[in-house]
Amino acid sequence: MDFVAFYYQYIWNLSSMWGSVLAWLQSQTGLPGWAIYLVFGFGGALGAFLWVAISNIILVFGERRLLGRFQIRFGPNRVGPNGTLQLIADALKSVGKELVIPAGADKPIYVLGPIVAFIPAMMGFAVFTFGPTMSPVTMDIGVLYFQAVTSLTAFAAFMAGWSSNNKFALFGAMRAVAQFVSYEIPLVLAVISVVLVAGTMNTLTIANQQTIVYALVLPIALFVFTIASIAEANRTPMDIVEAESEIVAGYHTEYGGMAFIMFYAAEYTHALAFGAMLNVLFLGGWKLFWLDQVLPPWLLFILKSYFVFFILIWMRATFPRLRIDQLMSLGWKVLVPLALVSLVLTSAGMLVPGLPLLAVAIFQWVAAGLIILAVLSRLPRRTNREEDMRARRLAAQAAMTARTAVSAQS
Amino acid sequence: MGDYVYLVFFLFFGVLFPLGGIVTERFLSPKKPDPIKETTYECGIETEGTTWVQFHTRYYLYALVFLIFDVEAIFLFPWAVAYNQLALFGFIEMMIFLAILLVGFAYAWRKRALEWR
Repeated sequence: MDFVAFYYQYIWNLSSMWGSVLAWLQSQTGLPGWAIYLVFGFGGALGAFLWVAISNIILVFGERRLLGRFQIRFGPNRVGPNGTLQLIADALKSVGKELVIPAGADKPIYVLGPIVAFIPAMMGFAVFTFGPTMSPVTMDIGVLYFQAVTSLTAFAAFMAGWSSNNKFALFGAMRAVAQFVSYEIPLVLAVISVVLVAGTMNTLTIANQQTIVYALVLPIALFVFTIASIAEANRTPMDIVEAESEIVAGYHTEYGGMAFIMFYAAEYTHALAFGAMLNVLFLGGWKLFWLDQVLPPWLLFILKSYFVFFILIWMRATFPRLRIDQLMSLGWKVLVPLALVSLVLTSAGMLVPGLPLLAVAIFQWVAAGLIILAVLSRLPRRTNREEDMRARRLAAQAAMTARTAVSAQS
Repeated sequence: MGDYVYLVFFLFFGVLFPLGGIVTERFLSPKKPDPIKETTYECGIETEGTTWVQFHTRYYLYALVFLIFDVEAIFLFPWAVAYNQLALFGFIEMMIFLAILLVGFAYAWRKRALEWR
């Protein structure tokens, strides 16, 4: 068989490759149909898990190097070529650490904490669309399922914080629940805008329908979803849950070694899950101009998800951490009204006969423009730049002369 | 009809990864318990009183407002899926529903239940 045919038949669609391997296996061994059915599903889950495991390595290392670049330093670059083995060294070190369970901790719940933290992040990967027909689990309530499963992280945070017998951990856990719960609302409302336009909750149909990406149709919903998913994934501009300067490390203060690594991996998996979901809902999953005719769709899906994750890293490097009162008022007083505006505009636009998508897009962009104008007009007026610079230069010169005078005296 | 059975495998991998890590650590890491090591970590200062301290009621207020909107979201999902069939009737009905909810939201805002004090 020549390579091109092999490429388009098997590498293009990994699930059809796995299906034909299993069909061959069945013809050889005569396994019953239900066993083949189960093994087929197991392959999908294994594939998703491998992607998660490899991504964790790539993303953690990539984020550390990129943050180094953003902050004009090197980042890890000593272990192995360009520091690529750094994570293996870290993992080996963590495995060798003693699992210290603090006195007075609720032992079973304390150990369960990191395990429960990872489960929801992993479960969310079931509904991603790795290709036009390639999804580990196809279900008609895909979007709702993803929302439901990923919101369970709050339980893990609270279990860890409550069982640690540590005040910092308890404060972190209470904050975590307040934050997760608050940002759940704008997240769900933004997703409903997408469901309205798509007319289905099936992630495969949503991704396949996007001849024009929903990011262009629903800019307000995209904005709300991005901000809310950063908060839900508990990443840096909004990691009030584990703010080092206030509450040590939040709900996992008492965890060390492998248990801590599991919280860390769960956080990255969660962030990747939200990045991939953003890709499915707003960027068309596996579609990318003409490239989806050349490259296999699953590869494009992975690359696009990494691109979304790169933007999350970028935001992390750019914005300072919010205070908890700012975080709460951003969630309730900005994102919830914005998501409601998006919902109303989308449902109104869908009523327009003929080109509902165009109507929705016009409504959303006009509203987004008006909101941006309103915000800009309320910002404090900027002072004259040149005058400002001259005043600063004079002040610096005065300080300099004062300092030299002092050093001359002594 | 979806293949919901397959979700069991995702649960399996979700448990396997962290459990495997922690079990491996149990075998490889030293085990030397020490009363000082097991004390509560508060940056070197000895801990005062019990851990389970009282909490501000603001957490409770957020939980209440969350509950209202979460129930709303449950109603919105089926409405959004069936929207193409409902058309104008569905739009007007949902706007009335949203308006009622918004009154509650405005009340919570006015009463400063959404502020972190």
